Amino acid sequence: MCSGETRALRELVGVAVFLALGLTVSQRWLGRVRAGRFGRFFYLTGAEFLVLGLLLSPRITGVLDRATLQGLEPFVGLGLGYLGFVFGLQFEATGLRRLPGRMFAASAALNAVVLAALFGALGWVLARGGDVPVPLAVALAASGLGTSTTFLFLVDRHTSLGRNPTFRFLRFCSAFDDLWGVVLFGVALCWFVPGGWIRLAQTLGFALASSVILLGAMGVARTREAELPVLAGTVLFTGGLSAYAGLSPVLVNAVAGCIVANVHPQARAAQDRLLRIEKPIYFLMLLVAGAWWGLLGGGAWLITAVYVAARFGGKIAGGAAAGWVLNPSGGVRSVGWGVLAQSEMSVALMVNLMLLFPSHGVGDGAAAVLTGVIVNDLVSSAYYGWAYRKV
Amino acid sequence: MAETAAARGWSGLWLRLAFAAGLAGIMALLDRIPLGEGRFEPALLSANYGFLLLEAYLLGEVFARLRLPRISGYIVAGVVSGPHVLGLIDSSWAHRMKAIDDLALTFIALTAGGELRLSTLRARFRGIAGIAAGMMLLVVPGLAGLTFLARPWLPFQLDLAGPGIWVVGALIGVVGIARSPTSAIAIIRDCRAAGPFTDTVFGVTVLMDSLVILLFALVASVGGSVLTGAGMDAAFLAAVAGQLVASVAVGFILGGALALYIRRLRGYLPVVLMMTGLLVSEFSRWLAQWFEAEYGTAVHLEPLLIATAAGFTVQNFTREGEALAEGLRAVALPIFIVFFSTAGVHLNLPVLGSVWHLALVFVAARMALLMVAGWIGSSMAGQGRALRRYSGMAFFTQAGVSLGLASELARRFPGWGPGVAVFLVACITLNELVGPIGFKAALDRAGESGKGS
Repeated sequence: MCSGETRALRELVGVAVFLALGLTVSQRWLGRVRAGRFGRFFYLTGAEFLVLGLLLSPRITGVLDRATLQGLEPFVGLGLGYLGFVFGLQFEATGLRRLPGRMFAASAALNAVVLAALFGALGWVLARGGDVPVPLAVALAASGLGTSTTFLFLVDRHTSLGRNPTFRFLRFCSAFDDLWGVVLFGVALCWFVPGGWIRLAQTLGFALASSVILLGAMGVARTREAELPVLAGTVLFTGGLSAYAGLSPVLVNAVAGCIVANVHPQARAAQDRLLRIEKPIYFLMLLVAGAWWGLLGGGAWLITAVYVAARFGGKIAGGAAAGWVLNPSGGVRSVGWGVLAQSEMSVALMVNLMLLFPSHGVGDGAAAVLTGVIVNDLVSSAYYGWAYRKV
Repeated sequence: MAETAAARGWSGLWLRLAFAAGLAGIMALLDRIPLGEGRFEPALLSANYGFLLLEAYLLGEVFARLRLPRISGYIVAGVVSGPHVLGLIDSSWAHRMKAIDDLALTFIALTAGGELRLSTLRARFRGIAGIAAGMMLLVVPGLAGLTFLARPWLPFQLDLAGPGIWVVGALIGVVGIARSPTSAIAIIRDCRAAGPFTDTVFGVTVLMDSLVILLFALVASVGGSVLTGAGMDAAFLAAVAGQLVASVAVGFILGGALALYIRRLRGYLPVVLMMTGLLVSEFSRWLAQWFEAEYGTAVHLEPLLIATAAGFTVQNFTREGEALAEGLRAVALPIFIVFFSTAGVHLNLPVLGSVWHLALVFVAARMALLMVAGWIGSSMAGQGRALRRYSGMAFFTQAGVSLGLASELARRFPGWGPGVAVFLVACITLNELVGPIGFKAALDRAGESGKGS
């Protein structure tokens, strides 16, 4: 094996060891940590891997440098494709039709307000300098829409709020916020390089082709044992091809997953099987995102401050709008406090952006989003209960 | 996912072939799609792995329908997709894909160790020892004799007089008895084989894995002294033996650590086991480099032996054997597929093409000798009809260990070693392609296919 490959492998081992240690520590001990009001759920959402990645980055310890991160690119592509596919599989029309239409309207209201706040504020900041201010502003705004499913799972697990009617809406939001985000992000990505509409058509074409491959692959998997290689192979293949084409593996596979969910009768079983390995893949994504954050040296405090403030304001105002749509005559208006924790998908979208278009501007944007993930996790840990207060 | 009606029988076979052809078509047309300037080259590695995983799975299923071993399908998928046939994966990408080999190889060795049960080994010891002895006493001299007889036609220059040719022959013979534990465990799993025949041939395979390294060191030391006229390199022999013992010791420690992890934590076990595979191979490489840099000595712990010993320890000396087996099973199939299909991509067809006539003679002779050795060894050990008749067929396959010995031979004897190594690579390539078919046929004929869980 040549020295370059040996080096890449060694670095991969380093990442593997850190990931294994992280998983072990988080599984065994972090659940018992008493970290006060702000840190109550912080150690359990995976945000600690983001901090770990930052600590390993060139800016701090230098364990993970540019060469290492480049060596990890294929695995990151796999992770992105995987997250997109799993995400898309949850949108099955039959199940969605059973949900009240008011929930969709409330979610649309919430996200419209958040998007307006984020895009307006970021557009203003980025217009003062940068190569692609509008697509970057849209991409960053899209990443800010998502709500953490893990956080809501923790609230359900550790408190009695899971039985609260508002909680049902929050869980619905956690899926739908990301849908808006993923679609917007995919559209924004098409305009990072010339040929926007053609690239959008390419994205849809790749998504359609990916869904055909997925359906074909699921059709030929004869046994339960065969599901894993077939699904992993498909995700690697379609995710890799779409990243190779400079398209978002997250969006391509999300659309493909969505098509499969509505066409293949065993789609739910496939999703359950894939979800078993979600946590390690997501944690790897966080680790890499943290390291990239340090590598690209992003740290434009104005963008970060604007991003965090605009998202916070947007979520609180959007939550009030959603509460009004859900129940105009009264009820909860502080839903926004429950959707502050930033989603797994936000991180995936940022990693996608850094993977395809690494630049100083993107580094600044990513720094803003990743800071937002940490800040929002801390704030959510302290104030999630406010989401259930009636006016 | 339930099998659809259309996917059964011959229609299923054509469906799979058509799907495989469609995927190959996408790969072939990839460079013709106008993608503009947003092309992101590194992602092609991920696409290549995905393509190979799907393609190999599909061809494996087609081979299964044809009553051939699935791993032959995986290897053929790699060969067909690789740089020497369709060129869907070119040589630079093929080279980059080698990085996963270490992970897969040690993971499979861990699986092999986890399958070995002390009680079974004790019960089958006579058969295992008899067949192993038969192989060492018949196949090694047999191939050495063939080398002597075929010396006018050998495709490499040997300016060796007298006993020199016998040294070369003995080394070829030793490489000839090397087996592939990875392919053995993959075929046993594929055929869901279980029973005394399976236990015995698997035991022989794992035993030979260590013995062949020691034997190679012995023959290389004695041969080196014969060729140079100097004294025997006893230090080299002692170092090899010491490294094997150290590898087993490290494996036992690792096994203990794995058992502790399973007992106390258990979470994400398949992920942890894959990382363990990676860690073992990298630790072994790091240690070798460190010794070289610090003391100028080559100390190489055998990663396969470490992993096998670790799996063996957990299975036989702790209560976590079943949990380990479960964790390994969860991700075994994709790892088998990736490993054997990338092995197919790396098969050195140009070398095979240049010396195939003589390689064919040596491969046929080796197979015949293995059959005879299996018969005599089993008979001497008082084994049953199945082992006497078919055990030789179970040892045709060669892969990683044999290739490692061939390259060691080239390194240790720089004068004629590289030429011999090229010839050996051609023979190993043939054995890798044909061997799994022989092993599956042996398991079928012994009546043990489908008897396992």
